[in-house]
Amino acid sequence: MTTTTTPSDAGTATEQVSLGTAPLTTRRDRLFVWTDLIIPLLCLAIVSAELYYLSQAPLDSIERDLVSNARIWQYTREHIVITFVIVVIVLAVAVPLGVLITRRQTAWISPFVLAFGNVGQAAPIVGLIAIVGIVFGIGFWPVVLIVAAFSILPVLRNTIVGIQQVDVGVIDAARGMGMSPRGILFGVELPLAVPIIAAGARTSLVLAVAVVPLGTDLDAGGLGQIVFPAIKLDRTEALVAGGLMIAVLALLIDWLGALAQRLLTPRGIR
Amino acid sequence: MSESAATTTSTHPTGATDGSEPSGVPIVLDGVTKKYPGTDSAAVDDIHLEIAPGDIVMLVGPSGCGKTTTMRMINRLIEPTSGRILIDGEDVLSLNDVKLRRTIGYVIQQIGLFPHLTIEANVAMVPRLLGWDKAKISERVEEMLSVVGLDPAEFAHRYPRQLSGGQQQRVGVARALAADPPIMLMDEPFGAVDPITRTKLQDEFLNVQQQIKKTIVFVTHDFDEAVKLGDKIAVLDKGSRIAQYATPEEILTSPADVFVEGFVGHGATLKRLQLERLDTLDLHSPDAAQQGVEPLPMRSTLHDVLDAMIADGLDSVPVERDGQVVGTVTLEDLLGRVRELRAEADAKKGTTTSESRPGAIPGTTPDLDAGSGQESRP
Repeated sequence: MTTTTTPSDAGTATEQVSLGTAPLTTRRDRLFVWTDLIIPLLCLAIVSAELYYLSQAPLDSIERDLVSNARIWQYTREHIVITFVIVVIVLAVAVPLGVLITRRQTAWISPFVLAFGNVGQAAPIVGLIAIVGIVFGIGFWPVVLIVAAFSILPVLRNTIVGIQQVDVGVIDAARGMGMSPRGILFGVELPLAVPIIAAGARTSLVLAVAVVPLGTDLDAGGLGQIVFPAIKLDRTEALVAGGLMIAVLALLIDWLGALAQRLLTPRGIR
Repeated sequence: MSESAATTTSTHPTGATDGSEPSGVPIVLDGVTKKYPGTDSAAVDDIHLEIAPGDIVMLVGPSGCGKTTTMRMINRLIEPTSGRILIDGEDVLSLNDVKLRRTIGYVIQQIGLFPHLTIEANVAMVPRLLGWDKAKISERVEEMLSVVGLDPAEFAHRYPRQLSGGQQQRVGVARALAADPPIMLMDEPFGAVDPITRTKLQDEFLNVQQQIKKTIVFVTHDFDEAVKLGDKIAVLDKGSRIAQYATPEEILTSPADVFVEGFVGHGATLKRLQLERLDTLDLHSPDAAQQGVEPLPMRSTLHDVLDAMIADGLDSVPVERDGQVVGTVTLEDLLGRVRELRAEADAKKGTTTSESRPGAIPGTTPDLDAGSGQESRP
């Protein structure tokens, strides 16, 4: 194969095209910037201040028991575990469904799946939890499943949009080069959809953090075990402490999601 | 560079060429039709076309004439409704479509580089699909980037968005050539870049093609591009009806019918001069009186010569080869050459009607009045 240009030809051509080149800026070294620390530091400050306040405040025995350090940490851990399990389920269900909707052969499932996702989100969550409690009993999994159904829509929609927004020219080139449909899905469409799918996952995460406490009555665990007793017993300090922890948790999880989103996004489109 | 080329040759014999014999293979479209369900008229209606190995065939025609559809049926991105497409004698419809496409280079106007992959990974895509080993792939990537005038050291590890449009299309061409396919399909590849870059890319493309001699099907709506790049031009009308399939010279001197004439546009004679080089003329001996005039190189086109004469208000200009003035060309020489071309075309008119060339399309009959009578296929 003599597809070689003479050295002089190649040389001049390269020199000429180099002139028009934009300065080479990669953002690899800017994957983390100092402003990324603002949110965790803020959260740390809020939690420290609240814990300090609780240790100083004149609380009665019920309150002191409700917001003891041991309880707060245990419930927070539970809350994180539940949220994590929910998001794993959401991703495991919504991404494949979103992919199926964007395949020509399986696009017919689209109305059914979207209806399911919409109903999941539109249905009154407290009512759903009550029904699930009656039908399926109480515990960890009923709550996990109902909250997963509730927060599936953002990931589902973003998976569809993320795949559909991939440049048709890129897909055409990929097909024209002889990439298989599977190769195009895993090598082109999904990598290019990552930032958008991840954005959906962040929304789902925050939704899940916020909704999990509603499942407290089904005994799934989490920070709702501070908030709802505090409401019933009219203990404002405990209520604020529980609410604050949930808010801080949502902020932190969204922050982690943002970092993960950045890390997972392929460099070329970052 | 030459070393890597030698290695490629030894491991990949189909690409071997000494620069004169084509590495491309023939393509035959035999009664190919594409009809979309629910439409009355076919997008491509019974097209017959024979493409010789190593030729650049330009499909030109107005928007919606089916030229892109025709091209995309060759690598089966669009499935023909009926007809046969033979590549090197083999019917593509009998092959696995995905594997078929790996043996056909594909370049499109939108370029379609993978934005999440480096330039290197983009160019390496088809060789990787074909399972080449790593060392051979990276060697090949470097070679291809050099061929299209991009320094591998500078560009291999960049991402597409860090390149200009022209550079991206160079990568697009390198990517299509990477697995050394005998055939290239190009859909308005230079349509989206600025005119200066386009001219440059066209020139370099011709240079590369001269060495690799692929069989190239090139879709464009720009007739000037077709004249410049094509070994042959197929002028297409609605439904991919071939109005004329001939060399650029033939189409310019004797358009088959009114449609082709309209497509050629004004100034066909001037365009024709772009295809004639100075070395086709007998030069006069150097004229001492022209000392101050900048000589034109021997490989200038007659169009360049005429342009220079008009610009300087001269009726003769000196000609140089390798820095030496070797003769003079006059306006009378140019006019004489134009008369000769006319006469050649007229002479052909008498012969082509009786001559039945394989793959010749009725449109090649240059007689305007007889044109409609010749529509039936041979």
